Amino acid sequence: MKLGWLFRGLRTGVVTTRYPNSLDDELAGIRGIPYIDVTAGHDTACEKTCAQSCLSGALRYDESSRVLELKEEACIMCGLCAKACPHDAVAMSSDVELAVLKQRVRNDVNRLFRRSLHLRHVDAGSCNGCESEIKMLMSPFYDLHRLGIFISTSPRAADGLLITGPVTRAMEAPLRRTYEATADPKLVIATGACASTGGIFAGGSLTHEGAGAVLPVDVTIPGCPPTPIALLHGLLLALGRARQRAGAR
Amino acid sequence: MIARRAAGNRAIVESDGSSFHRVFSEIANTPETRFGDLFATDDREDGGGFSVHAMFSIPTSPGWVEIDVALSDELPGFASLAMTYPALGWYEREIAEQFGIGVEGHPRLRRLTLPANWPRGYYPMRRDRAWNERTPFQEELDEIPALVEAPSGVVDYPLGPVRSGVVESAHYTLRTVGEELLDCALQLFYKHRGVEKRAEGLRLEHALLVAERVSGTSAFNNSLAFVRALEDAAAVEVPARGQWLRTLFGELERIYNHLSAFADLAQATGLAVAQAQFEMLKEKQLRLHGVLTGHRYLFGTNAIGGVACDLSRERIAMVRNGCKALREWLKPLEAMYLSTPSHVDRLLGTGILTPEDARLFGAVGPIARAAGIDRDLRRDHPYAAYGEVDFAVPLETGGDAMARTRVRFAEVHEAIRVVEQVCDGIPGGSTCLAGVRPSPGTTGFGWAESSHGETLSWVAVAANGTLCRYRVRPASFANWQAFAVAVPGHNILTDFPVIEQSFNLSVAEADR
Repeated sequence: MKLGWLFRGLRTGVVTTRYPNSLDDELAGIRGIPYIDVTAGHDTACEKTCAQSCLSGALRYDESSRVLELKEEACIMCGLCAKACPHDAVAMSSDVELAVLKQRVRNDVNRLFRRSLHLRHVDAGSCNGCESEIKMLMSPFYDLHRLGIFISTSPRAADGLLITGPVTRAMEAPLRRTYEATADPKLVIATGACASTGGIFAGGSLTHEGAGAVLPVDVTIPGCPPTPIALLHGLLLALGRARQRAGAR
Repeated sequence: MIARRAAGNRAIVESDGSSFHRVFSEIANTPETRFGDLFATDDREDGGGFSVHAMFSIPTSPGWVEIDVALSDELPGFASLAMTYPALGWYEREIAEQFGIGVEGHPRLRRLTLPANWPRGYYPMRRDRAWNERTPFQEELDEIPALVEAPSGVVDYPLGPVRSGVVESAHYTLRTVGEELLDCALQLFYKHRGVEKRAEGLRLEHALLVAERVSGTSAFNNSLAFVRALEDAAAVEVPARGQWLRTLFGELERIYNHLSAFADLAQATGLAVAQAQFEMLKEKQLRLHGVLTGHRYLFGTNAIGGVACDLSRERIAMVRNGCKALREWLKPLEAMYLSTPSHVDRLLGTGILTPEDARLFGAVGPIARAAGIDRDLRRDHPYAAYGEVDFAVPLETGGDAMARTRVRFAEVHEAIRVVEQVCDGIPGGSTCLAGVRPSPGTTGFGWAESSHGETLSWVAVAANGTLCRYRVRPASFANWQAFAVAVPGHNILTDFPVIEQSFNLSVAEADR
């Protein structure tokens, strides 16, 4: 029977994506962040309409500078702003490679972790969407291990943390203790809108404003949940093996 | 003091605190009646007091009955029913800590969802508390149950909340003698985000975003129960095409979740190729969702009044072809999965949930069906287009990990059949009613059968048209209570991952 499985596996052939060398059609049709057409005829009232359509506070209308600002990290990509805009000036893109480098713990991080990076995943109150996508990274389609990145069983053996969820009050202490148990130097990667900024739960009485409110975060990966490609991009960015999208914030 | 009135898809029985116990027992002891949910509301702003609501499924029209109990204002409280109906244990604890409603005679009235350093006497679900109010931290830890020191020869294994693999945060204490598992103490609610409170006071479209994020992997069915509750409150009928599409997406969600469960179970028994194969099938399904709806987990697919995205003829053909391909892939995989000795031996007789326990603790979904409980909301209370398609409700009687796996396989086959029927028979027309707005002050109730089981939603709409109360009772909340009783018995420590993965419960869904 074991042999049966072996042949079954062999017959399937290679299904792994070529990312980051090239992008296949994995992202076909998936909603990314909105793009705001600044040339369309805006007025103050309509920009407020757009901003009010945003639950996570990613779209904000700045009264003083009179611009509509998008904080990509907080965006949950629901598309309500595109529906709300009376001028069709907001459109959803399929752009998901949005990871942002917040700080660089050490300049030699890509030398240290280039060949192998072991991460401990910590669920700090996610909806299980991010977990599902992180698990897909280990599936044959994305095969995280080919990039030298592994999920470690213990924080003691890990080079960093991969955090999901807005950090609930009950998970704050376990998260801090996991961080302390991780060997230095360590990377902290916040996965998804919740871990990046708190998402739609930011500032609740039971939730924090993401991992950054508790720990120093190196990289944030926007998305709700981030697709496997977005996750790969974020992980490679943390290692200095991918570039940040121009203008990302 | 008992009055009956009809409200949408449920009958409402009004009661008071003193007669609640009698009314509850009367309804609960009627044959074929099943307990659904028990929750509280704070109606003080509307001139009332606190109320407790109990929901039951009944075999006769209109299908559901709700007991509304108005509690006295000055000292709200009611007598606990948990000693008679153990399934109510968690529900009563939740009411007590979230609303400050006294539950007299509860055997273990400890905190359930709130963290240990949450201030005493601060009840987050009361209407005069804001969802984003900064509460002072309490210095000393409160009410953490002390672990009784294990006698010599007995070893307690703490597991979690941060542990190996990519798993959700939950804490188990596994008590063992030698290899045998004696007991499992369960500590959930590390992930309690206050989802119900978050949705209060929001515009209905925004509340829908919250409902989708109760559990990312059951986003469609959980939000379906929510929008159906709003549609019930507004007394509108969704157009036929919208109903059929809801059935389609509901089944697609079931398919990918069950495939995921097979992969996780294969990981627990070390069947690496099977794990990879099922993960591949799951990824194919997720990509299909991306193409169909723009989201891999079907977020943003439901709308109040129908479905937000229509499928073109080509897309429907694509789903139809996908079904055929999936069935062909699944056939040899299933045969091998259910006959590989190293795998099957780990499942047989492992983590048995007896029909009595399943009934006692109110288990739902595939977990209950694997223990011989013939119950499925899609058949018993048809919604969407389930009344118009043909499907069977698979049943097993073993109650072990194998039975749960068999039920899931049979359900995937039925789900594929339903999707094919939808592809063939879907009517034309619009998919969504525009401008569905429930009248201020109305309440509504909705339900759906997700891949985890019954998810129930109850809503109340405020005077300004925003959401006043969102109650969600996802399937996993009901099933976690049953999980803890399936662990002790004829299991050894290394069976634990198998039991855990064969239940395949969502922590996010239970914690909310």
